[in-house]
Amino acid sequence: MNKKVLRYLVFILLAAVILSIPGVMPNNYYRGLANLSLIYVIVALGLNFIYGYTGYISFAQAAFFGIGAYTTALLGVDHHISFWLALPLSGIMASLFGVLIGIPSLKLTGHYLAMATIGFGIIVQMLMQNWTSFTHGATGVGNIPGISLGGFTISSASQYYYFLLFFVVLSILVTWSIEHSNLGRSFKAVREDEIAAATSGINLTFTKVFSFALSAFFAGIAGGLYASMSAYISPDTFSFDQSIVFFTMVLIGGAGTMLGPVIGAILLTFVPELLRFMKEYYMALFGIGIVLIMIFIPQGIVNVFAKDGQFAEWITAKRTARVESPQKDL
Amino acid sequence: MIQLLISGLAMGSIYALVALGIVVIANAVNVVNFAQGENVMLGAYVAATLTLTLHLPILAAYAISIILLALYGYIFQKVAYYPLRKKPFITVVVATIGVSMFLKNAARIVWGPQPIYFAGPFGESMIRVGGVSINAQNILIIVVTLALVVFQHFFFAKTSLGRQMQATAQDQEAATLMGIKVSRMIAFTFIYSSMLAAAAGVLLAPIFYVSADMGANLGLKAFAASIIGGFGSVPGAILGGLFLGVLEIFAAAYVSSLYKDAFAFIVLILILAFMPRGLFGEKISTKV
Amino acid sequence: MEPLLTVDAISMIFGGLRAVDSLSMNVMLGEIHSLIGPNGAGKTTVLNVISGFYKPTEGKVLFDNKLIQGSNSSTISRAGLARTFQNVRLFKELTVLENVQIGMYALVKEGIIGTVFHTPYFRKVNKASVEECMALLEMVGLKDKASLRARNMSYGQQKVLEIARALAQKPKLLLLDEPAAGLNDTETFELIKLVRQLQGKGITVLLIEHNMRLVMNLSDRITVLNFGKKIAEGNPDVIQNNEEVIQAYLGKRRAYA
Repeated sequence: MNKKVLRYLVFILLAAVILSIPGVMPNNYYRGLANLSLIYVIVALGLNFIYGYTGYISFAQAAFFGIGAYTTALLGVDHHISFWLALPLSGIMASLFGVLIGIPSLKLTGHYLAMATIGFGIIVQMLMQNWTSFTHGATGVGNIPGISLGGFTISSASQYYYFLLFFVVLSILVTWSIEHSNLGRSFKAVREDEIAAATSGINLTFTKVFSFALSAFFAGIAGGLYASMSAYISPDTFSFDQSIVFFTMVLIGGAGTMLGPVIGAILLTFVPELLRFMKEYYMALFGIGIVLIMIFIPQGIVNVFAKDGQFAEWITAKRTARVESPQKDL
Repeated sequence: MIQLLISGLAMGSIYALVALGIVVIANAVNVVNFAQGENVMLGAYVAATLTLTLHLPILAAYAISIILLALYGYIFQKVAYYPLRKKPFITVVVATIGVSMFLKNAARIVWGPQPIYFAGPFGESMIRVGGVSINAQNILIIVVTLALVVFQHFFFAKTSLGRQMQATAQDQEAATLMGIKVSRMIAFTFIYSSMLAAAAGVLLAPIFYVSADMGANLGLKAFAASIIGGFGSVPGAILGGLFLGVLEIFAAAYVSSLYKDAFAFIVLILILAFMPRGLFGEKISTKV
Repeated sequence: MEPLLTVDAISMIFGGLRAVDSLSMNVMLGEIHSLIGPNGAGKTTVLNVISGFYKPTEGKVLFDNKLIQGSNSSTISRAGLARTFQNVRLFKELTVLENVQIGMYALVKEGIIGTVFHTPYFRKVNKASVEECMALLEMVGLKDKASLRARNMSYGQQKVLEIARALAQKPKLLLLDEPAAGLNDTETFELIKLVRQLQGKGITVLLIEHNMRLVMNLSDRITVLNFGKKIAEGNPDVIQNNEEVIQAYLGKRRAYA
């Protein structure tokens, strides 16, 4: 069979599977889980910019996710602002905080940067818990308005699934576009060698801060979607532990690849739930699982199939060929 | 004032002990052990069980707890560090986070969700010094920490084992050439670090309730303390810990007790923004 | 002839050690200028000052009639000054083509909208820049390796790839830090041809090199450094017959023996 035909067949099959998920899921609980995994895909894709492409550690992704969620929630509940205005504002608000944490982080690497982002995340969560007059405090924000589009209100879990799927596809396309652009290459250049990047004319300050902001923007948008979908948010969702989970998603899937964070986010949403029948044992097992994965596949699932990097080479080769003749992409 | 200062120094001593445990490992193998806070929790639980359930004398319980944690430190490095020793820093760090998740939740299964009250050797007794009454446990914490710091200084400077560990931390390659068994020294470093955690755990237990969650914040704040002091520096870890403890108590008393836990991190970010290598850290140098 | 780069009495002191001691030199527009001297003479330090890694303790650096000392290396690179490194600094996990594309970073204006949506404008700009990069790769003989990762190139290939990346910046001045080190005779010969070709295209070259045959063959003028000080300057003939230069090199050789 022709390779091109095969690729189209695989693509159609994959699309069919993705589109049939809400029908296949046994009940609304699992449909909700599928929706959550889609939201986490967006968060993980965002984190991939700063960690995977630019090579800087951030343990604050849950805080950016939370800032986005609170922006949409508070604008909707306290100021009756429509979701469609609140959502972009969520992204912008999160990326402003991304710039805020990005600037002091410029001179920091390794342990120092890890700790600065952890500190930022904890401060944000404490504000959510304690600044009651503004954030509604530890009890969280309820009755967040849902999403309606031209008279049609999204109500069922299945409808949310397709709605979120649209955002996931959009995020993947944007990630792909950025990866194959000057900007994406400047991220990777900073990751590979900052000194060589600077002598190539890359402005390190701009690149790092922009990467932080972009990471936060994705998380903020995901947060806005999360708030509207769940109708209720509370500060304990946006914890340091959650940041670690996001980070692990990127690591397990394969940092610096496009597919990696997607796979990682879906796996880390569903696997713990599948372990839930073990009741209180499941979080402990989850911890062991993380250790085992770090020992056996630290490079991430996507790269497991790589034999001496051949698989990755094959993929990059194909992508480069596409960049060489971009008009064929149409 | 004096009371606040003493309890700040006591809390700071605990941070210092935990930070020391983080720093000795970081110096030896360039890894931050995010499970160090959970080691403290483990030390406290073991001592509490020995005393409250098995009715051992409290000092025996302390000693056994420290020995068991030493054993645990050896197992931890064998299972979670040794297989990863050649992997990048972040891989090992995430693995230690995995271990901390495991310990926290395993403790919840073994000891239940209810916090345990475990009194120290002095119970609730207070010492009166010239009109001020001070919690005896706080004095104990400060004195023991001071003793441990002095002990550590002599251990690393004067004993053969200490010197070999020191040499390993400074330059593994040179240490190997000098005939030092590097992997054994690294194991000893992990053992020593866990023992420090156990000591911090038994000292802290009477002040905090013993619970599965007691380690999480402690580990992060101790890490923050070591960064504030200048990461990798032993005096930095001690001073950073004391500074953080005093700061927290005073900020909680005079500014806001709601945000008690936030001050540590606000100060941390401010210090990092202006002094990227902490108060006592080395200068950054770029190699071209 | 007018100078493109003027180094005016720069000194660089590291903890009491004068690595460069009030050095002045001019690199003229269009020439191939070599900076030579025994190991530890301070050549790379001079290069690092010019390209913005070090701020000189004293003195001025003028490039294209603008003061550049103390600017960061990104700004200096955008002003038209590109360099290579003694120990090759490539983006190892990226492809050969991507490495060259990154060299072109500051010249390609894709725009944020173009970047996110890959608009027709983006595609036009992108296509043009890829074609330019491929032409550069053809010039250094790596065109057929474009889609392979940089780390899989041989040492010689990595060295010319680094030059191609520097050329992608369309520099007025190219600083080459020991480009022939580690190359075999054929590769060195190719390198000489390449540098001549660059001069033909109007690029000024400042070269640090230990391979004397290459230096004497290529250079229009040579500056000799010893212990951070300039001891001689002139064309290859003058330098080859300069007593002090011979002493500096012979003295060095005696020290090795």
